[in-house]
Amino acid sequence: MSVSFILNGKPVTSHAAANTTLLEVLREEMLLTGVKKGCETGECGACTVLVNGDNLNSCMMLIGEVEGKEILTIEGLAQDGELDFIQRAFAEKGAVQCGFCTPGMILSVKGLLNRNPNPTRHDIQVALAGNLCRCTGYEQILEAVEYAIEWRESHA
Amino acid sequence: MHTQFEYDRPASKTELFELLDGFGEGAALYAGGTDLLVQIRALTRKPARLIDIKAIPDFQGIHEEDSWLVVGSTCSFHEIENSPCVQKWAKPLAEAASQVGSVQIRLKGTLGGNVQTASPAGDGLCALWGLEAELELLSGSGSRRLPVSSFVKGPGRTDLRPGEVISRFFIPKRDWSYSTFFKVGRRNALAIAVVSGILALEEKEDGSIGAVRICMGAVGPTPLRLREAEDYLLGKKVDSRVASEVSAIVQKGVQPISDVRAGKEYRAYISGIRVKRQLLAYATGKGI
Amino acid sequence: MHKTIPFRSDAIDKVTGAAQYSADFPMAGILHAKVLWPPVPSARIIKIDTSEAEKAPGLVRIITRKDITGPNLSGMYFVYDRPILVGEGEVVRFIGDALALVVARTEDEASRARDLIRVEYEEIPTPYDVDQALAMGREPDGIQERNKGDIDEGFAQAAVIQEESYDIPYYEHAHIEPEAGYAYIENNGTIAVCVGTQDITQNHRMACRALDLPFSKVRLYSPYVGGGFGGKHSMSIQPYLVLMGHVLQKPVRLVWTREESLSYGCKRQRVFAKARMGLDQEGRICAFKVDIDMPVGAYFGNYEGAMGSVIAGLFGGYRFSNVQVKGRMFKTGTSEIGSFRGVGTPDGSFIVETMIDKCAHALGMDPLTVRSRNWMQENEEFAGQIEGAFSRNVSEKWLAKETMDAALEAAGPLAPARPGKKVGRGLANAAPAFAVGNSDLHKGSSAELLMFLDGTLVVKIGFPEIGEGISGVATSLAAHVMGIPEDRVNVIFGDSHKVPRAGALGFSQATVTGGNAVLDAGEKLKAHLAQIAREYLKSDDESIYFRNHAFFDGSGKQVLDWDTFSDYCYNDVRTLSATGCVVGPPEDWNLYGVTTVATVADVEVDEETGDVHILQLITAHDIGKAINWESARGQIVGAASMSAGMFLMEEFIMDQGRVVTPSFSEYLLPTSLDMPGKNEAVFLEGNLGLGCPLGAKGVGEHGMHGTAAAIANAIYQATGALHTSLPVTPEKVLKSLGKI
Repeated sequence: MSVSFILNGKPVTSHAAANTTLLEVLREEMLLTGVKKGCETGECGACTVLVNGDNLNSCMMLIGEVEGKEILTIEGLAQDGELDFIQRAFAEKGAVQCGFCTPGMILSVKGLLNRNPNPTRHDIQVALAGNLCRCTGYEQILEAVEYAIEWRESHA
Repeated sequence: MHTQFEYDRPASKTELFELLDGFGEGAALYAGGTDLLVQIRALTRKPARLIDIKAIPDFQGIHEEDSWLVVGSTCSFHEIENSPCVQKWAKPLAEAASQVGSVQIRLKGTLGGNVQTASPAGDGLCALWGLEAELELLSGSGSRRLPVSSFVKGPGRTDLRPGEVISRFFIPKRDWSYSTFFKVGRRNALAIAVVSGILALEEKEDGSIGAVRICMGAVGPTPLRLREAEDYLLGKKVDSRVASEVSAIVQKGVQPISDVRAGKEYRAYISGIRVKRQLLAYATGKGI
Repeated sequence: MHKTIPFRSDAIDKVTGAAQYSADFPMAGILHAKVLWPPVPSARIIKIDTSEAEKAPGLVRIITRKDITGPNLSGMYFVYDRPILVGEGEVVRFIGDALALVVARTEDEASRARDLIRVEYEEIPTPYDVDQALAMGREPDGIQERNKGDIDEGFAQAAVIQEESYDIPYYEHAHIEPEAGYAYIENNGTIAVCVGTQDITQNHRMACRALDLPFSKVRLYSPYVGGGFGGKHSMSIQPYLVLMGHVLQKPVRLVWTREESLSYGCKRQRVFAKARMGLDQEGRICAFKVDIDMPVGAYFGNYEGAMGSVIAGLFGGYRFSNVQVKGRMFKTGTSEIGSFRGVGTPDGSFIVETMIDKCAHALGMDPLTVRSRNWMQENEEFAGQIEGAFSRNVSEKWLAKETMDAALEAAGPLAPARPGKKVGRGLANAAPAFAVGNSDLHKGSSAELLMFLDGTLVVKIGFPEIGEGISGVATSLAAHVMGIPEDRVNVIFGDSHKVPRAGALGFSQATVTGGNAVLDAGEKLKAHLAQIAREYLKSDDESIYFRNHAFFDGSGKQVLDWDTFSDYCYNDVRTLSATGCVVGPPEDWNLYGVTTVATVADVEVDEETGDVHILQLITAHDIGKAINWESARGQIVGAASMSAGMFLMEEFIMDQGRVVTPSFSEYLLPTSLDMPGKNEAVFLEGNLGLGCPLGAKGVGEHGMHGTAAAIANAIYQATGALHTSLPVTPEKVLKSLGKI
């Protein structure tokens, strides 16, 4: 196939076969290995990317579905070498241990804030329930998200 | 992916039917893909061609007609969960949508896919079944419309004929006094229902029940209407004795099996308890 | 400690996606491999017919037993009894005994080619659990016993005696990164293997011996690892990668699917136990008898270690006079038993802590009082207590009471029950062990500090960063010992050829033995730098020392600036490095350190639905010193939630040697909506670990030990039912209450 889309702000074209998932295209063809493969059944969220602002499992999307869409991966978050406020909060608040769930987790936070800029703790838990973390027990992740939202409000 | 297939994305019904008629059994309809891709990866389905129907306008959107709430088959669970008219006219369907999988799955998975997968534990399917929804099937040669409960035949089996596609769902608009969906899972997200159900009640002026739906999922080969329990409730006012009696009838009326997630005795027991709890929530909400 | 960077040094890589894990290294032309697994768990293989597969599109090579010229025996630590590939005429003993490696241009082509291989076999009856082993007349393949005093005499003194049976399932590590790696050829035919592992030294030795390859020609190194929890020591893909590198002489990648990781990787030990405990009138434990049976898989793995640690956990931090423990291990056609965070000690804790509550209840005495009557107070009691006990208190005080008090204070009062619910509080003490450089596989872990001519520093440490935080610990300790800012320190991880050796990663080895090695290397490096400075200055003033970018004498006066020193070293081609290693005294050999943990769990039970909700989980830990507080907290909170998940919902099930729970749909990990209402770590600092870096004792595994017991004891208080068969699902709760 020949599929054109916007990847981290730049136009690209994929020549992958029709039976290729977006996850495989991003990792193997676009060499964005920040997008992780954890289960390939939509059960872990490690492969989460933003598609037109929505956080989706890239393992559950075929390349043909991506035509004309805007994809954001973890590599596209930092602007001009400056960390995005969610990335910085995760790093500062001990929300990162092995880091394998981290890219998907951060993008699910981004997806949440796209939909709801002022979530409660429960809203955050619901929004992150599709991203499994085996290391942290989620506690410091939730704190990082709350801290990030506070930081953004105080720097608005 | 191990299985090789081609992919089409028709922009109209006409294009779709040409493809379906051309490729026959080798083609599979592709909507959200959250079930189908898992099956293809597990090698339980090996289509030669996937036909993505999400670009076809006729299968999209949610709107109201005089007597029906119309939901396009490719509406995502996220869309359904957040739709004001679904929340108003088919609240159990909105609640069921909100409890599917995870946010990522809800943003992608569709109601049509959920019905076509025909899992006994399907959350959207259970809500549609209990609300006596109908669906419309289109093909190159025409259309037909039938109740969802006639369309789904058993686990993984529907009446979808070659060349057909589910286009829309029709849910009767009904101003229920109380309606809800509930789900019991082994965990609070990303859970296949161990037991699920909808309860809908219409209360008469004297406070007794004029109409009722009790429909349970994951306790039979398809969702199950508990008609005996419904009949028992008609004409009665809900109090704790009535709720307990309904619970016992439900527990005897379900047909669960035991599997890796739960045993059948537990499923039968918890079915009754959860219906009872919902009835009591309704009753205490009214101050009874 | 002088902190100059706001985050742990690996955090930026991980939040930006720059962190590379073992499946993340793109390489042009790399080949892809798939493993051919056996069709049944127990059989003699008659024929592996690859003729159709050889013709598959994209197929490059099918590697079988015939390609292995060495002994073909691999394993975990000391016993190498597990074949890497099983060939024709040989025996498959469990479902993870691979038959072939199928290599193709793409992963999909390898997968399709693999499907075309025909295997002929003859099934061999084998037991799949302890009952079957006994029915087949099998004797145990291993027995461990601990005895002290006179058990009958002990029970004769008892005012109450209680018995319980325990059933703890297999659990799966479920690291979110599945096993993955790649191999390629470097200079002079050196096979380089990049693989996510917890033990470079052991994997290297195991693979090279099994394949009869010279150690110097096989280089094993680890990138960032996406979690291990003990699951990445055992044999998994490491020897396959070395073998493929050797046979193909080309780059090749192998990545397990989640189903493969779940099905074929090692598992946590399956434990059946019967326990009997007697308390005297004062609540003192006068007798404790435990019989343990374990189905241990077909190969040695770590099953003896698992059993030994279950037994160690039984003794916790208590005083025992009369003890009789017997553990039997039966080989079965099931998963290899590896290490899982805490190994068997949490199971031993689970047994003793719930038995204490059960006996306390029978005696009519408060469980906390019973614990306090039995806590060891003296420092030396551990090693001397029970022959075969392998740990000792490495601090001056033993803070069993203090950690319990701290946990209870942080917990506050038990919340009142909401209408229709019951609440309960459960306690547990534990004495988790951690490595202090005195025990096998841990003694010689070393680290190198290499200073560059601009004064910046690299720490070369043989442990990988799997999330345990060695990046942060190594950075902090190196900066501390050299007196330089943290942002001038870089860390490089395990590499068989380029980084000094480390032992197995686990048991808090990285922080304790690795940390000690860094501090030792730092002292040696400072001495070395000072010596060079004296040389340059032609001085024999022994008081000259290095501190943060310059040299000073004993009076504090600067005697040499960095730039001059650096130019001298450049001209003279001086290496500014030192290697450190700290081994404990011989009288301590084969002992671990212990410290104390106390857990308080509050639960709310709905007796009508069987739902258990953990209101709060408080873990108090005598840590000595928290080098990086957020990291230490993350270890305790993470381990506590892992234990809670295992208690409530996780279960790896095998049926006749086949896996019933092969995907994340069946093996359920807790999501962010399944967490306790509050999950808190409380650290007690000040009771420093002697011989530990800055006094920091282990923390990585310590949230595992008391959690399950505290939750079980809480449910016991709330409902009157003591749950000893895990996981405790609503279904089991209802059964215990007679509702179903």
